[in-house]
Amino acid sequence: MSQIYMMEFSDDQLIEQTLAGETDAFSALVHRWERQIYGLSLRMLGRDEDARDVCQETFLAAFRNLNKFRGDAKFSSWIYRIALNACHTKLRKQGTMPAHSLDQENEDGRKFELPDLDSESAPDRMQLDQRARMVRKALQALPAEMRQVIIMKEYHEMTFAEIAEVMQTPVSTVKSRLYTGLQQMRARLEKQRAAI
Amino acid sequence: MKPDTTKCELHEDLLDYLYEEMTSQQRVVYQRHLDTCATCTTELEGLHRLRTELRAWDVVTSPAIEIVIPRSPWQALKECFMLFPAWGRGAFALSAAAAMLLMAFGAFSLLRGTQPNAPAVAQTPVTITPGSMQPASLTPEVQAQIAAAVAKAVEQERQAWRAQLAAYESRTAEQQVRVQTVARQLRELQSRHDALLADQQPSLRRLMAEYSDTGNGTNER
Repeated sequence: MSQIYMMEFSDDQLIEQTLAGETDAFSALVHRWERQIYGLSLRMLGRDEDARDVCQETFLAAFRNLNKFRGDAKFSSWIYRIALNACHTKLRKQGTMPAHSLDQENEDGRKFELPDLDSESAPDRMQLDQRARMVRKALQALPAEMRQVIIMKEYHEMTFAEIAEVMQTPVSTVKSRLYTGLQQMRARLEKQRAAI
Repeated sequence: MKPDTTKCELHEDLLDYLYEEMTSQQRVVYQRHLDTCATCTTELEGLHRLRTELRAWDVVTSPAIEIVIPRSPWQALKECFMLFPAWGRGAFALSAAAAMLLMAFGAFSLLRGTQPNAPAVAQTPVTITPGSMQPASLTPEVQAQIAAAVAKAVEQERQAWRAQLAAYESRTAEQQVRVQTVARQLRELQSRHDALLADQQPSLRRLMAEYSDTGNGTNER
């Protein structure tokens, strides 16, 4: 049933059907977007378990608030915004939200409290090669506002306007955060390479 | 040492060029700029390398997210109903309609059945000694006439109620007979359908065999 919905209907049509009481239509929406939301959450939080939690929370929140969804925005922007809010809440609860830039870290020698990458399961460790781990560490070290822009741009191939819609900020702010974030990542990766 | 790109006036277009969010005309203009601006060119190359590095962290799989969505009672009922075959759904609908009709009639009868108590109060003056309840100014003859008229009215009303009750009982019996008839017809239809299917199966098999033979013949040719 869900597969048929996925093939035939747009997000807006599936939303209409869900609001009419067809819960299978929402299952189709979940199947359509779960990979993107999981990817976003995993890159934001760094841990599979947390990403799964955020994914669950995101879709449940979307289901509960679907009647508040306005058609003037895209469903993708709306669901990304919910997911990012859930990520920020998770980071705040864990106390791992990096609040300082890389330069500040260099100046005062403080280390960001990164999620414990070594506590992953063995298959995850196998999957991540050295380069991926470096990228992951560098990304996790960024302030969340920069990290989310880089993730949406690089891994989700969203346009500046789409990211601005998700974040509800001007396009110029998005570009500024992206540029600063990329510069900081470059510096971080160079530092990591030098340490090897 | 990072190049100081803030000195270049077209530096702000760098990201638009990098992520291909420019019109083709703007792109041509920026490419011309890159030919002459070493700072932007170096910066662009660095960002290209970084983007390649970022691709190293690829999330190729995602877990199947199980979201338990509570179903509305109406949808649960609808899905349960759809599990029955078509003839079963029809019989169920008829039975439900008949049950509702019976319940409605029962409720109506109950309501009407309580009303004879009210006339019972009115009936009381007939049994009570007329003089004790009537004004002293009324003569015994008049009092007797009134009592007789009241008793007659009560009796008429009783008879009317009994007639109505009999009519409703008769209609209910008719409805029950109709429901039984429809249920019997449905059973007959089902058995006819089964018999027809059983009859047709040999001829269908024969036709399929013939078709298969014809197909083989064509292939051989």
